Amino acid sequence: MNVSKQYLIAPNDYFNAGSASSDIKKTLKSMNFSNDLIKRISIASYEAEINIVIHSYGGFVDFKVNDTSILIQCVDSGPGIDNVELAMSPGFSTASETVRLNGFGAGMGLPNIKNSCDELTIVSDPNGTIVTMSFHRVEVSQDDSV
Amino acid sequence: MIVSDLSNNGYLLLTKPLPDETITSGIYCGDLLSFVLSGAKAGNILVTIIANLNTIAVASLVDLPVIIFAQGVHVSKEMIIKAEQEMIVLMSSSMTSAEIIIDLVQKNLL
Repeated sequence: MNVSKQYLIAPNDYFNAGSASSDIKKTLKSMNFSNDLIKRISIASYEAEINIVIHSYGGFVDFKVNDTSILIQCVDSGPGIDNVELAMSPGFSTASETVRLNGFGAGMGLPNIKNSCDELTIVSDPNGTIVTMSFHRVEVSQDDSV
Repeated sequence: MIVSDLSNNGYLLLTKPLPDETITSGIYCGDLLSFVLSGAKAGNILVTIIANLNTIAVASLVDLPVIIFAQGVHVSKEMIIKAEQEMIVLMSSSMTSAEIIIDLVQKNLL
């Protein structure tokens, strides 16, 4: 079964932060994917979603499942990441004190995404950032046989 | 460990009791949610002082059935409602996170 969904993400909306990732997880669970794959996708999608909430002017998350892979693309409308390479360094963060008091801003968002994805591309300029994450399909039967 | 082991040992249950006994396995203690996401294992109890809706979202995403909020931090009604929707048990203690771990070990609950 193939799936295609899109979720709008509002800036600074901590109340609904994570709802896209929660729906993605529920969708994947209903499709019999392995628990390890679902956990990796949950981590990556949540970190990317929360980045839109914390750092951007708003955006959306595209979620697709096709015959070979799961694709999640997070698109926002700016202000962009000044230095993507630096932002990928564990511990680097530009989060505000308020964000840190909410349990974020550890500088582990992008490193967590990188460690969770099979493939990752990040394109960023002042007009916005596009984070594209892909994962190879692993169904329960393959997971259990390892 | 089951939830009643905690509620019978001085931990305040904030959410409604679940119809069945929630079984937990191991514990993860931390306040930075990115570390919780990547470090906690399904079934772990989460001990933290970060009390907001994002804590519930993270617990739900990585299948943490119980959260114990340390040092008596305020837990909002919205958090309790969200946790009950996600079938996550919320508990509270006046102890610090470290004291909670020591307490659970001393009571042979870990």
